[in-house]
Amino acid sequence: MKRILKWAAQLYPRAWRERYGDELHCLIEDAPPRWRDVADLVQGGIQMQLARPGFWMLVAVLALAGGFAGGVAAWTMPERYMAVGIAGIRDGAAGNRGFTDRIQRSFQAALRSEALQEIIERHDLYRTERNRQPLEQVISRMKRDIWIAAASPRRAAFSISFTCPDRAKARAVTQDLLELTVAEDGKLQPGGTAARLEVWENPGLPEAPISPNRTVVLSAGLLGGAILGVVIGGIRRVVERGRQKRGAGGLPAPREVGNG
Amino acid sequence: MAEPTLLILASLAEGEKHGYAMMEDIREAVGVRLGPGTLYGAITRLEQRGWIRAMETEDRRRPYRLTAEGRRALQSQLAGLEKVLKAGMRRPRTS
Repeated sequence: MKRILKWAAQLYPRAWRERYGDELHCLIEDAPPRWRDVADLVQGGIQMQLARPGFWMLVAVLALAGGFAGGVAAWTMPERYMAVGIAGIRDGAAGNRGFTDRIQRSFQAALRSEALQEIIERHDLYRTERNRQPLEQVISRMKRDIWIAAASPRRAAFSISFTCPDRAKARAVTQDLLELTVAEDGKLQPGGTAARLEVWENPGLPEAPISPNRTVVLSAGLLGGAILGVVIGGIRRVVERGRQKRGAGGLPAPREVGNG
Repeated sequence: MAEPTLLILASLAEGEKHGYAMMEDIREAVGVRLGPGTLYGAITRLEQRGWIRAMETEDRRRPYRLTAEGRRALQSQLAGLEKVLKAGMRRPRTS
């Protein structure tokens, strides 16, 4: 029993044990042992560790706190869904400069402010932002949620995507943008001689959100907390060594401690 | 149950004692047996507040003594408890 009590006394921080450890061991030797004392020592050791955690305890506690904060953030962030549609030219060559320029012009025409405003109003997008910001800012915000990219390295096709918190709206807006780009492209081709741009693949209903990546957010919280712990623990060690060199010495002041 | 720090201050009021002596004194005086973690948690707090002072170690046992500040703190706490006691005793019993 006394061996268990001495083991429990090891739960106290090293600095505390250096100051009070011998006395506590003597008390354990002198006093008739009780099982309740094991719980009393474990509780006291934990409280003392939390009152003034050692370096690795500090790192662990802050990493857990960071992980918890990351977890809360990851599970409270709104999910965002991305819908993707594809348009292209039959028998067109990918990587053709003329095709790229043509698509860029058609896409820019489709992204004109009046067209985007009409889409925003039709699908009731960015409701909060529209109440707080001028329309130009809301349109700029929408442009950041729209992506265009080459769909295939070999074929003259491109994909358009739109990301928003509502999966049905993501699909509907992507469909609108795709059709708008195709329509603008038709208007821009002189005399209708060029091969027609057409929708190849309509956007589907996104199944899984693309963000937040909860694993990444949680890991970032854990890592951030651990780094903060290393920094704070390192600074504290340097300060304490400086104090000891200047002769302040003594027990490095645990604050409110003990389980009484 | 009384606060362990108060029990320790009261125990040291009659003279310096080491941990086990305090534990036994408190147990005999008020029937409360403080656990080793509770006792040393309270000793740590009291020493930080400057209410008790550690003396030279004797055979690995370190006695503690009440400081003047600790004695004032004890008197103040006892006076407060006395007021509470008197007020409680004056109240009519309802059950």
